[in-house]
Amino acid sequence: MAQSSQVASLSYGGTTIAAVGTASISLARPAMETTEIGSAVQSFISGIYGGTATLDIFYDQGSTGHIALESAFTGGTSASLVLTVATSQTLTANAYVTKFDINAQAGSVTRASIEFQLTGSITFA
Amino acid sequence: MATIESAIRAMLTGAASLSEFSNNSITHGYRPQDGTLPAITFEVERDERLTIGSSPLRSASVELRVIASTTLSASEFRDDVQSAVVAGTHDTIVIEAVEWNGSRVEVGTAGEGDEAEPAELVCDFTVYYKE
Repeated sequence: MAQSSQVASLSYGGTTIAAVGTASISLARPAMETTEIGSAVQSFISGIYGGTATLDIFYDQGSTGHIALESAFTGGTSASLVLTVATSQTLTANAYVTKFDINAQAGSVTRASIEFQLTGSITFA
Repeated sequence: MATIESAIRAMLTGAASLSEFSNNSITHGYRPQDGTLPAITFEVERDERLTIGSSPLRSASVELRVIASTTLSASEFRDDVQSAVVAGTHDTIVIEAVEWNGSRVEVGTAGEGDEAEPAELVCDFTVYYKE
């Protein structure tokens, strides 16, 4: 069954981030090649996995969650990133803030794009 | 129940800078046939949800028209309108930000009787709000 984004949310360090326009998490497990000399076909084994996340927000320095993101960026500390898709449907990982782009443009409200590097295990629950 | 249309009307009718417009001369969508000038009409052209979550941020594009007998008298209301469209709680709807996109004056049509049309100041702005 499809899930409406109206029931979705994203938290970082236990604080729900307000005014999230888009939350994207990209996970990858690049395969490692094990093709031998003389082989006519490629072969692979499963690699190790990791991921990144991107958050587009309507930036407000008065928002508690946005302050937490700023602190994580300047402090270089990791915290738990939780994407809730629906009730009891979450993805959890530890993450560092690696990029914080703020965009103020004429004719639009100020936005920010935040990138995360996930570290350690990733849990779907 | 409050709507973005009722909130914008409340914002306009409550604005000190537009106090010379009577309550009946600020209308959504149309101008009463027996109304007096100057008058204001407005339309919400696009209303969309911007954020995830149960209490989403929304944006609405608004076109507001100040209708007056001459282009000069219409254009004189530009600053008054800009002062009136501000963030705040209007008819229980929280308008978090207003982006003023611009304005233009549309010249009235000269003519006799029903052929004559008044001048209009057309203002475009976007409101960001939560219900």
